[in-house]
Amino acid sequence: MTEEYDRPPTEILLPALRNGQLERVEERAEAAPRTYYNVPTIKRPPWRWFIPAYLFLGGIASGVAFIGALAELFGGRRHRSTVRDARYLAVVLAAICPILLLLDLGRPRRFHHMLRVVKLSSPLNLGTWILTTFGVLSGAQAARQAAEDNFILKRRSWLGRVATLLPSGPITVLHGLFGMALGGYTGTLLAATVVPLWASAGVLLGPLFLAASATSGAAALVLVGVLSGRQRREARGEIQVVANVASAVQFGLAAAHEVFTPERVSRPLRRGLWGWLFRFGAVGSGLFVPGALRWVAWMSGPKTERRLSTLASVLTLLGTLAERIAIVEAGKRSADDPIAYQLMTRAQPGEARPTPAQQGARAPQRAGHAAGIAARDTVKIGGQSGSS
Amino acid sequence: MAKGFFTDTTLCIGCKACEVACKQWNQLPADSYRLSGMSYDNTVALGATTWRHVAFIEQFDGDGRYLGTDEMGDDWGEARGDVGAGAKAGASAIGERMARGPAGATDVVDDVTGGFLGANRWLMMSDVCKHCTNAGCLEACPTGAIIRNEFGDVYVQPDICNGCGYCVWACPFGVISINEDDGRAWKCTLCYDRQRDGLVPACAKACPTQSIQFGEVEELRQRAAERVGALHARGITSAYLYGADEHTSVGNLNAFFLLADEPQVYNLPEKPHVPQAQVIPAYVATVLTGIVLGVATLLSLGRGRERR
Repeated sequence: MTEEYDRPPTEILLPALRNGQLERVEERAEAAPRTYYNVPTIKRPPWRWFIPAYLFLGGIASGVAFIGALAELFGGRRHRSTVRDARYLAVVLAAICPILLLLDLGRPRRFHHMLRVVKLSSPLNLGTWILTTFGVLSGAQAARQAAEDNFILKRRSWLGRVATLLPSGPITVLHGLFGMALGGYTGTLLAATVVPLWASAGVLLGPLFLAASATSGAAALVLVGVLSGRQRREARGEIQVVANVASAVQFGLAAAHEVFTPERVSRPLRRGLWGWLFRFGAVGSGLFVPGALRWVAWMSGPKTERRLSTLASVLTLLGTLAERIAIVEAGKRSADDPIAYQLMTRAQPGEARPTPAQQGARAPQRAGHAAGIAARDTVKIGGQSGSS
Repeated sequence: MAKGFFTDTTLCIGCKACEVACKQWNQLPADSYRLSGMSYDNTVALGATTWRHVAFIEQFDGDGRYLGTDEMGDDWGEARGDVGAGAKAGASAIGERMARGPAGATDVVDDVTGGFLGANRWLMMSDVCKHCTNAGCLEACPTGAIIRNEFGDVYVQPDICNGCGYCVWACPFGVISINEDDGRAWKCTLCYDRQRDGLVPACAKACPTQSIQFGEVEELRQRAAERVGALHARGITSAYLYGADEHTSVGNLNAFFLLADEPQVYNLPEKPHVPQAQVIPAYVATVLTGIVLGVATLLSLGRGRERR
């Protein structure tokens, strides 16, 4: 495992900012590692490719929905094509996402068991509700759009009438809010685990995922807008600003994550294949290059602007995909590292359990233990009724 | 009150009767015939079809030196100043006498052995699901398949579980896992069925040295404290309880342990955290970011309305 990490092509180019205190603890643990034959202490997430794919597509759906909702409520006429694109994109993605999640279940036919409880302590349960509600709202929004466009859904059909009669304002607001929730809960879902890479500085993951959703949603809206040819340049420029702001937030959060995570814990995200993918794929060509391209596009003529915008959007989307894959895969690696988990679960001063000496002093010094141990098989069991 | 296990690792002889009894009673399939190549422990870890696992920790080297905490020089070793330190002193004394030649080496054996838990030691621990008071798996389960039963133990209902696997990486001890053959999550049930019929769980029943004891957790904790006191009185001052009367976010463990070395030696976390402690701060941070992004989006899109 360590040999793979010890190929640091990025180490020289982008030296990690170090947190002094964590480093010292880390050095102490690495100087004399005491593990159980290096067997992982925790189990690694066995996610297949469906999950990074879901994180990517769900993120786009999220960004598209909330940018679309804000464009509908505050964007005015120039954003009519944005709203239309957002409604159609959101419903398509909202239809694909549950399928991806379902395929990753051990028992796919029991998917509906997720909806038998409401459990706020479980981000996965909350996320299922968010995704379900989001799907319904996306359906309502897309049906309205289809009826307005007379596309697939006939305006005069009863379904079309129902779609246009539904209250537009509240549904739009809810669609935007649930879109945001969809983008953010996934980060919390990863943070609320014992996987060292995700759990340490886990507070930052939800915001990071949400910002990535906004970036990719904006990029998707620009891409679809350019391809359809209906989007006005001013509207596109405004969405590009959203993409740049969200990119900046994303970069800040990714940098903060690196600063606040011990090197050993985030090693899989700093070195090796996933480190490379994260630094150059997600951050380099996913945030910085498209940001520069958008800026150049803003300055240039109509044709170049469309081309550069397309390129920037494609790069942003690929970068977001790289980010999702790198974080998931690096998390799996960090789960395999018992030292990383030890660092995460090391007792802080004052938190340690009573030392053996204290426990020994506290324990009653009588010889009752022998009788107690011999009493094992005579322990009264609660019986049928039980006792709790 | 809750029922649970007290596993006294100082009594474990590594016979694996608990592993076998568990497999037999719960009709769990064999894992494989692979040899781990690292020790006598070929089970390696707990899993979906392995609900008891005997760990073998060999603290020897060729020269009979203790490979222990004393070399780490951390707070643990200093606080104890016990088995490890004594062994190190013994080892250096041996070295000196060896250097003096054959005449000096006559009484080496007495110094090296120092009892079963002394210098050259072989620690064994029968690991099991801890049935935490605040169980990460139970909190994480999105279907409500994982419940706390009437005996106060954490139980996975196989007819509800849909195999999402989220419990697997919410467990701070790496206990629960997915059975690839049937796609569901499995772990120790603390012999729910046997308990319903008033029987002692299979592993505790099979344990020939009473290393695994079953009963009311409160009573077991009392018994365990007495055992720690007795061991300390006998000079085994490294003995301590893991998972009883601790201030961790997982709370007390219904299956707790008496250990003779640092927890990480047994592949246990020093201070386990229940992962859901992160949920509320993470939600708050996400909502705040959402507000920032929403306002930024509003400002950039809303300009259109003014210029219309």
